[in-house]
Amino acid sequence: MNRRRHPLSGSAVAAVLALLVGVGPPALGQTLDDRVREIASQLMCPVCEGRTVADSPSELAGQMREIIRQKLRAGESPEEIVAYFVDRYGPAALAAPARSGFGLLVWLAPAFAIAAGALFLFLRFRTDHAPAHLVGPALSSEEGRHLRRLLGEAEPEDDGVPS
Amino acid sequence: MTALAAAGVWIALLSAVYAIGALAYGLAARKRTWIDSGMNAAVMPAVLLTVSSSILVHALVTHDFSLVYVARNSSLETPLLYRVSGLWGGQAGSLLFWTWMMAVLAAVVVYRHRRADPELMPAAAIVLMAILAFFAFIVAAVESPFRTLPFPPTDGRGLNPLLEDPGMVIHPPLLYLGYVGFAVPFAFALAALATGRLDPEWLAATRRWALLSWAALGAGLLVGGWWAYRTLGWGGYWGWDPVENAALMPWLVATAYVHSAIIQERRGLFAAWNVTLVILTFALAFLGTFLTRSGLVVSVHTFAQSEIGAYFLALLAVLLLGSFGLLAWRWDDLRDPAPLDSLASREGAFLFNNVLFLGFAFAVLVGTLFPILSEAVRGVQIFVGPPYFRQISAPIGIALLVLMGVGVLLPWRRATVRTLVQFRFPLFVTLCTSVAAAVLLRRPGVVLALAAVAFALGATLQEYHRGAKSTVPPRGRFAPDSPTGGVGAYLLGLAHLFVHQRRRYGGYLVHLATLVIVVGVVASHAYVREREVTVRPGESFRVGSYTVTYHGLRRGTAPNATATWGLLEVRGGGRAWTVEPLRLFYPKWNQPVSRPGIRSTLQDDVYAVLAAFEPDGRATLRVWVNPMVRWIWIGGIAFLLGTAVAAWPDRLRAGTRTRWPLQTLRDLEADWRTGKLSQRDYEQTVPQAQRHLLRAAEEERAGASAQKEGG
Repeated sequence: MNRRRHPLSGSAVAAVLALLVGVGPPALGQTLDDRVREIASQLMCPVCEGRTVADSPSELAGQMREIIRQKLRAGESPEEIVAYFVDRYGPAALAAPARSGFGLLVWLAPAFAIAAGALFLFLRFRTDHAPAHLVGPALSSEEGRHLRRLLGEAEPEDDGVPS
Repeated sequence: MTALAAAGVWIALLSAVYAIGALAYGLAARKRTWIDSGMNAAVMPAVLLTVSSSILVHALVTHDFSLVYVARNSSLETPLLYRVSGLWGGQAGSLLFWTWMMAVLAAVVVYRHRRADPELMPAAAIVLMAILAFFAFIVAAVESPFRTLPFPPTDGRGLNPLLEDPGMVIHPPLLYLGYVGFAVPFAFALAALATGRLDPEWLAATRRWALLSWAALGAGLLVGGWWAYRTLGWGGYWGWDPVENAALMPWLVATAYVHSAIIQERRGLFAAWNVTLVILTFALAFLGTFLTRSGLVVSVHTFAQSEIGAYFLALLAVLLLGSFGLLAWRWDDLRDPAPLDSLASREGAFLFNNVLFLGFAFAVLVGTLFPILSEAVRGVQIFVGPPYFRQISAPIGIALLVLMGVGVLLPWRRATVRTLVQFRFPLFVTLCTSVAAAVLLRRPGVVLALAAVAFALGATLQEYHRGAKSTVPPRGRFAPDSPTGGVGAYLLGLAHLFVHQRRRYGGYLVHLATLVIVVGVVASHAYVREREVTVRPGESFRVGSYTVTYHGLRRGTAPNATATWGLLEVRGGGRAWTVEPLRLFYPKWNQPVSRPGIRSTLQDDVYAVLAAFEPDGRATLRVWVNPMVRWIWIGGIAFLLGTAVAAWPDRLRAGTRTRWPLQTLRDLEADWRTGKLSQRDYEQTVPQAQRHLLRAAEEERAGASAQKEGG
């Protein structure tokens, strides 16, 4: 290993920093609309197919966002607001299942699957094998000549790949 | 004409069935003539379905409203481009298009592999024809686009207005090419199982097909996002809706396969696992077609509820049972010849990559099908929407990024303490980035994601650097001791990587492109700002760091629709732009459509939607500031370029049998030079590879002389 610094290291760091500065710091503090968005994206629009209240262009979703806005102004907490809509529209109003009861399944399944896969790998390949010695005898000179000829035919130009 | 087109589909179905019979009999009875006849019949559907599809396109272009399909999916005012793309604008047409693509692909595969893979091709053709026969049957008997009306209307309904967009012209063909393309590796894998030729020949034969399909599917997903972003007007590009998920799942499993195929090619390990991944990918591609076209899961895309669902489910069951039955039957022959030396190795990294990608696909599958399950079990529809998918995909994505960095650094067989030195530079980059991100951004999730990106970036750039340094120094003008210094030699070394090791270093370009996309996705999700306001002409409001002034409404007409758009002036950073969100009303569809006005730069997009307006000029506007969305599209283009580099045919002057061992020898050489293979492993494996090459050359010569005598 060479002990010199990488010629790339300085420029890479500079590039990463430039990237970060390019993004720029976020505007501090959330506006009311950003808080509305956070809550609205947890709720499903009841009349449109597969859209959250935050993403839906429908009139009803617009009214729901307005209700969220008013409730936030009135000082209600996000949990209270979500609960209000679940009361009105049932559990189908939630954009993601609650992490309890039957809905917990959907949250645990992927984690369980990945953990099981990783565990399987560890158990199956835990033993660190000594490298198998599969050394075949070296090529005979006849074979070597033959091989060099083959490689010479295969390479379209002399590109410095040793054979 | 119409009757001819419908008959064409039926005859294509018969040709496919005949091909299956002839090939099966020819293989069983070892009769060459029957095999040749079956191969010829396998090309027929492509010709017939090209004629049928052309007739449908002709009917769409010439406004032949006597066809139900034409009356429903085009009108007198539909522009020519969208009349043509109407072929895949509705259900029946898109199934015909799918079938046509499958037929053409099957013909190309038969033509290309007939001589190159004479042992596998007949069995693979049976699989391709079986899939084709199924779709031809659906198009001919169940969902025919050639049904006619007794009294043709004077004008049609027109294409769904949301589909009148360039994005929708290219998105479905790309997606279908991805779906259909996976049938090729799938067919060859089954052929390998059926014939017992389980060496990596089938992998080598289909590697480029797999890459092409994988790239097409990825491009299809990206173009779909681009279309959604520009037309649907909810400020985003990916809504995790069931049909998007249906296309994402096969892509995720295919990504796992693209990686694990490398282990089998290089180390001869995990043959059974690769067959499994190919089967799963195709099954998911098939499920994707089915979810899109059956209305099983309600989503934005499901335009039609049809009766084809049962057929699809039946075939999916047959497909899975048959494939895994074959796999179980051959299981003992697929045992790995050598055990894995250690999990701390390149092979190990690939395996963990597979676990994560499959886990990701599984999470998406569970989330997509859970509403159906909960309805069946509990009688209530529980919705699984974007919040779930975001929270699941974030940790998996970060783990994959870290693995991306680790994987490129690790050598084959086993990592040693010396390998750890390689981590120095990437970790240094990670540290700098984390500190900068922590100070500037302060959001733990974002800092973590950027740190993982930085690690992968550092590791990948270091790989390019080491690769460039490791090539044999050139002589002459660019020699390291020449006046140009090391620069010329270094650049030549880099170029060498893209010519002679293009699979690996093209693959790393794809990695870099992924990092660009990830940065765009993270920024646009974490720092999106939104305002929803009702304003009078002349009023201004702020969104993020921009001031938006509303200057009133304008009215006009568009094809098939009346248009109203708002005039917005956006100011920020001392500059001003005009943004015009549009609202179209289509009388025939009785639905208003919003087209956002977008001002896009590398830093952020200002994305405005006209949600509603009043006669007095008041307008309800939704305006988003989406940071760095453009990075996603730029990364997408780079992604395709990287794939093209990796899949570009090489100019090795070698026959089909010697090509493979030759490439192996080259890879061993490059691995050893970049420290991806220890000296001892290199000395152990090279003679084997050389013998392999000599044997292949012998076989090739024997085959050539036999053909000369026979011909």
